[in-house]
Amino acid sequence: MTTTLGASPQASQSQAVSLDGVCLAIGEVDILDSVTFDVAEGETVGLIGANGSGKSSILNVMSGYYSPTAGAVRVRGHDVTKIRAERVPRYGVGRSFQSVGAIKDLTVRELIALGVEPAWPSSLVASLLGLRAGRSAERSALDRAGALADEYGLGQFIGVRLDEAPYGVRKMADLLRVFVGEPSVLLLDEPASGVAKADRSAIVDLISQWRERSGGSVVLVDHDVAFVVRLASRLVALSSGRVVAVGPVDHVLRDDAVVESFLGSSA
Amino acid sequence: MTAASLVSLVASAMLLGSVYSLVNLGVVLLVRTTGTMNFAQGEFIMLGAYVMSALGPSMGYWPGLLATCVVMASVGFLGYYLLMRFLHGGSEFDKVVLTFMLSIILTQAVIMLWGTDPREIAPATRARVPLLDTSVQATTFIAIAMTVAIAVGLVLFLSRSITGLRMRALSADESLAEYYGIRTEVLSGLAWAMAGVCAAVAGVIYAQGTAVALTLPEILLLAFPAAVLGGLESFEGAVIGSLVVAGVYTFTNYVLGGQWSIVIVYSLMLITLMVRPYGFFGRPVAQRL
Amino acid sequence: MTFSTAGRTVRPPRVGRTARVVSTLAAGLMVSGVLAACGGSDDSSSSGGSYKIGVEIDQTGRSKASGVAQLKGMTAAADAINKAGGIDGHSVELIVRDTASDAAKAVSAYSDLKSQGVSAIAGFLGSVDLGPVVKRAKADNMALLATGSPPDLLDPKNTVFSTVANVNAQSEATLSYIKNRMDDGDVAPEGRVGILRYATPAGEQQSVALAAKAKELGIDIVTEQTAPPGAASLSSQLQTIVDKKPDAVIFLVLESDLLTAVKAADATGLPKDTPIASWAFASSPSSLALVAKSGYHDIAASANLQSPSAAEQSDGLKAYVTAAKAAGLDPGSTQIPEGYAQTMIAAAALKKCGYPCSSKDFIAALESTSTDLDGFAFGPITYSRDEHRGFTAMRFVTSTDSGGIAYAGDPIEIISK
Repeated sequence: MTTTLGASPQASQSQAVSLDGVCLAIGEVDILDSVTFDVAEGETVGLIGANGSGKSSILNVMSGYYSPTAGAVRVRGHDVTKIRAERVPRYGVGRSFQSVGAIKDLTVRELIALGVEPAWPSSLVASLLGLRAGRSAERSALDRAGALADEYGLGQFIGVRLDEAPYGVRKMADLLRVFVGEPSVLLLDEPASGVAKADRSAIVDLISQWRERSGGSVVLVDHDVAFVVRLASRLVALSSGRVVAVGPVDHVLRDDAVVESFLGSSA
Repeated sequence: MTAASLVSLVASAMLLGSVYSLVNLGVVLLVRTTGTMNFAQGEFIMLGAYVMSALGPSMGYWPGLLATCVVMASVGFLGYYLLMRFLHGGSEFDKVVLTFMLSIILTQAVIMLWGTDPREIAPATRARVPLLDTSVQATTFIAIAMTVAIAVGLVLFLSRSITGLRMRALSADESLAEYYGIRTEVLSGLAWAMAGVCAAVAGVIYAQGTAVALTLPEILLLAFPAAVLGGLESFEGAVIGSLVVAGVYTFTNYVLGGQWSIVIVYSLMLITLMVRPYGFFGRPVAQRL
Repeated sequence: MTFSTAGRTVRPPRVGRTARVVSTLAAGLMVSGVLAACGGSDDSSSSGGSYKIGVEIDQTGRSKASGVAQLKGMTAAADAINKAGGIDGHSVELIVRDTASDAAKAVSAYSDLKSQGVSAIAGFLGSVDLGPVVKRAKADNMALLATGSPPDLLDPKNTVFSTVANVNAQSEATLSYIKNRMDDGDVAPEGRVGILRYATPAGEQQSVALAAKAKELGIDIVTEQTAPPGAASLSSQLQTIVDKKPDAVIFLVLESDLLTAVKAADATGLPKDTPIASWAFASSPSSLALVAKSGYHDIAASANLQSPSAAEQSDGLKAYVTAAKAAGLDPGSTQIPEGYAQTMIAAAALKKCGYPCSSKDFIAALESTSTDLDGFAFGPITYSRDEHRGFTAMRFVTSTDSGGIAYAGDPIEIISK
């Protein structure tokens, strides 16, 4: 259920997301410098680069937490550059987070249900007054969360409190929280960080399943290039806030600038 | 101690326990939903009592109480919208300091509107319910029923409703909640409005058994040991802690006298802090202050 | 080292530090603005220079209800004096410092006021404000005019003067009142009395005075219950009192606690016709009316000063009512008459002292002052080298059915000569 909002699309519909000359400075420090790339419908793009190269900042700009100093972010043609973070999800953008430690006292199912877009403000009024409509909307949100967990094989964990769930389950639950909002674009920030090597395949499977079912696009950030290439078909390589290479995986990984600025240092 | 005295003391302990519970429910509500320890809750309670003392005589008890709840919900919402909102995502310490300022503003408002003389809230009924050899004021039972209704309502709202679920996510991390697409400002405002309603009911029940006076906010300090006992994050804990503290306070008062009861209640709080710093209903991970 | 940002600025996360600072400042300004509105009168219209009286009084702490009201009364009196041309052409200026019932603030306020050359310092609602500054004041020869002095501080070796009937005198007066009712046959001749008082050091001093007076009058104190000020419930205390089946009850607590005690009396089943006596801290017409409304009709409280709601009217009372109304105050409100009287007592001493009046001269002048404030008080308020208690008489008041005030019995002499 993605809501269509805003003015008529300005850019080509085939691009799910496009960044056009995005610059970001915080204080006097330049974080991003003229970042430009597109993500096509159904495509998975991986962002790679060393720590501090600007990967997470790009996700922060795309999800509305930072407003870029210059440039524009478009989601399926809608300019979301000036949209507040809490409204960006309504453009079909779902985001997962590197850290899943903050929220502790919810169950897995409750966390997933947080991703259900409420029918605002009627749901609020209804739930306050205890109206049947409100109750059924609430039940359906939890039901949908439960059903999704079943679908993706997390059914046995739905009643477990997050701070008592295995770390990998928490990361997967956070992904399902994004999935349940039925986004068309996923922004995944280190979905496998902190997860044991053996469990990473489960996360790769989860994301692959979602792509197959929804046909949506993914922007993936992870410091583990091996993990990124299992999912991404194209890469954007960053160094010091600049794009140093864009293209198919093989092409970017063989790029001299990339090898020098990033892969070289870790090889 | 005669049976009549015992019944009467148990009734006063239950009434005091209800007052403490309502005070603490408002405090716990804001800790649970916005992560804010609201030191102005005592002034909210005072303002609720003053508003009722102004509206009650002309509107009657129940319509007056309803109107007071509406007024206090608005005050709570405005307190958030005009002040607390600007500390969105800020440190807990900054928020606590701002609630202190809010408390001063509310006190000055009360002095300007109503002056310094005590006022009164007439109870809903002066009827008494016969019990054993004696009788107990019907208002005591009404107060207990209202406390139970509010406590159960809050527990169900936060644990069962999607709005409550979103509020709980809010308390964990405002910025993260915002990323999740949660309307943090609307929900925080709503939580403050609900805390205002808790304060309205607490203020009315407390002040109708005492006086509508500028000393009412001190109830926050008196009820605080109960909140600590309950763990500050649990509604059930707040209610049970309040009943325990009210019972200990009432009976030590009767047996040992006024100079000992406060000492004993605060000792109880200190021992709790030493043995279980997170209270008897909190979780070790959930320490906030 | 700076980086060129070429005119770029980043929009910070939605609410930045600036907004926080602004909102904090705005809140701070609102608060200070409100407090300034409560400040003292600063009317230096007279050409001859003004008398300066310091005021240390709680405006924001736990005694703010009394403090705010008292200061209003003090200011109303100063305004009235200045409007009438001052004291021999010199206006009276009140320099006000909020103590918030905090010892440290009281001490720093004292130093500040002393450095401003005040003739005396008034205010002082209780031992929290007064205690920490008594020694310094004595060393500096600075008079402290108090409405809430514990009896021991009124020792003439100190420079503390009480501008109301002091706590012990008032407590003893409640027993005299009960004794009169016993003599009239309204209270059983056994005179079994239950008392509720505060569990404070002043309360302990009170207890000793009460015991002696009760013995003298042949009154049997069957139980003496104590509570901290502002208790959330007084039910246990009242339960004990009720269990003793007293012939009369004495409540020596402040106004809001009196109402709490009466509600507790109702809850625990104290018979509605039990005679109740209280003191001047709870004698405003509104609080007596509230108590009577709860069903306890037979309540009387001592009063320091004539009540505007009562039938008898003296010139002093009329002047007070005029001054209070001119200041937009309710003359019947608690602690406003006491504040007004305090300024008027200071003014009487200043007049005697002449201009300018050093703090040492002020003490000498006050120690030879005797005034009944044109009949506003029930008897002379007399200070001397050996007597700083001032008030010599008070009277009991009760609530009438119409919500007014009537005097109960004749004035009671509280300091015998």
